[in-house]
Amino acid sequence: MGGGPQQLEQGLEDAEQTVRLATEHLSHIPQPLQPNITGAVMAALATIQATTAFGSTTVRDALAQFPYGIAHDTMQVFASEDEARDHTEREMRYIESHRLPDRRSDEELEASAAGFETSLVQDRRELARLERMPTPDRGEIRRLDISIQTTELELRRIHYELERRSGIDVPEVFDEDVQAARQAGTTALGWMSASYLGADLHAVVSSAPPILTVESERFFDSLDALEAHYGSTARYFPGTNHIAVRSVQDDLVKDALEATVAHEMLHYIAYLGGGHHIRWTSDSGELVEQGEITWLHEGLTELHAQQLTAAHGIHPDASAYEHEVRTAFYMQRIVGESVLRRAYLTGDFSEVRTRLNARLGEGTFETLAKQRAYVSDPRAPGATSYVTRGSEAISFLVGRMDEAGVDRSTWDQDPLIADSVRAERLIEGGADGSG
Amino acid sequence: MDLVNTDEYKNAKAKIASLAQALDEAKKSDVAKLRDEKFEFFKKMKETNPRLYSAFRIDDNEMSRKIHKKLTGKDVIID
Repeated sequence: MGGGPQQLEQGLEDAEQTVRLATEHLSHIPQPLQPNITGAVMAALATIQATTAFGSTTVRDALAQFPYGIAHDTMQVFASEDEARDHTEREMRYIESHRLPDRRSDEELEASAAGFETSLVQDRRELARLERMPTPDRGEIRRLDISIQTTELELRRIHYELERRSGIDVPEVFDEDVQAARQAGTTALGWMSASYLGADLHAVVSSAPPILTVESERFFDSLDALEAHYGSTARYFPGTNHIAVRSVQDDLVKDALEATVAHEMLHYIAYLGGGHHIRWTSDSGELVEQGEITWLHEGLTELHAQQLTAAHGIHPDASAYEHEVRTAFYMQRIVGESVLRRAYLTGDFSEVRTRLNARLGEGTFETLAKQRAYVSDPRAPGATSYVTRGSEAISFLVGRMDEAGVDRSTWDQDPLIADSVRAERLIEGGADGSG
Repeated sequence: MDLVNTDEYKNAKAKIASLAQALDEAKKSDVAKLRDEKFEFFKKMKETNPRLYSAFRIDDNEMSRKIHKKLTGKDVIID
């Protein structure tokens, strides 16, 4: 940093003023504008960091002043299911207004639906035939199954479009699902205790508890259609305390309800605590601000949701994001459960970094956590040396653990990751899964 | 062989990187085409190679969030 000591001192004063003002006024700034303030604060923190030689505040002190978590009095906090359902209706109208129009005529839509129905009949017949075979072709069954699900979705979308044009509004939420979700919500919220979250965060959550609503397939399908997604079962709406789960008479989805609800609640609570802004302090005291790392955040969310449900005697079948969960699981074993949970909920990974690097070698955490936009991004040369998803994180982490002589044989037997380990060994060539 | 070192993984990764970059740079009016391309790409992968899809499921999700943001200006977390 250029300039003489006087200029630096002035810069430091200005930076400290920025941090102080931002901290004082953040709660009065609308949520969508908060990232702008975050940017200003980060620049100020960088100045403070660069001038700490002049005996002023440290980055860590400054960090402690600044609430990375959302200031919850600027959120849309819903007090009841009814209020949250109004939010859903507004979202639905919003989605409708941003929907790319289906330009097909009614006749074209009906013809398309007829084609899908014919293909559904054929696929279902073929699926039944394959399942009766003495040695069913599992690959073909899987392909047909996905094809049927996709066709069913296409058909539903056509019906929604025709209903929309006819002005028919059909509420499709099953009472049974509402009751089940309420029960799951109460159960999962009970798991988020002060000892689990920490007293401060628990107090914030208690003042703005998550509100769970069950929404129609039509609502979820409309969102999925907007995003080219498929079969989402739950959503959390950032900037609110609203979680929505899909109303669907599907036993597989219902069996995983507690884990799904816990997963969404953790997204919300981490959002409150600052967990979506991953950052750490380097050895030289430099603040490294990475922001959200989707694969790591999803892996940690699912790891904690699965472990919470298992700790309360509920064992859902499979976890989503197996590679991401496995990475998070190994990190947890290495750095310790409470250290990782604290980092996940607050976003401050400094202690995780210190412990991971101490065990697996310098730079391990940075390689996992530093992100680049794309491998082909000319602004990010050398991007291939960083991981951008759980599958790469696992490959890298396992290599580091092997080099460091970490015995993970017991860890690999944990039901949470055992399937993933077995599948990997099969790919690596051991047909019996032994590697 | 480690999944991430296979040709199919590298090819899929390159395709996803190119799709994601195109999406970032797309105007709202161009999102529909990319959205269809994304849907077909991941649907095919899910049908033909579920193991490979398990590695890229997070990208499917992330791109959906990106499309949502691009079209509505709002954030959403999808599970």
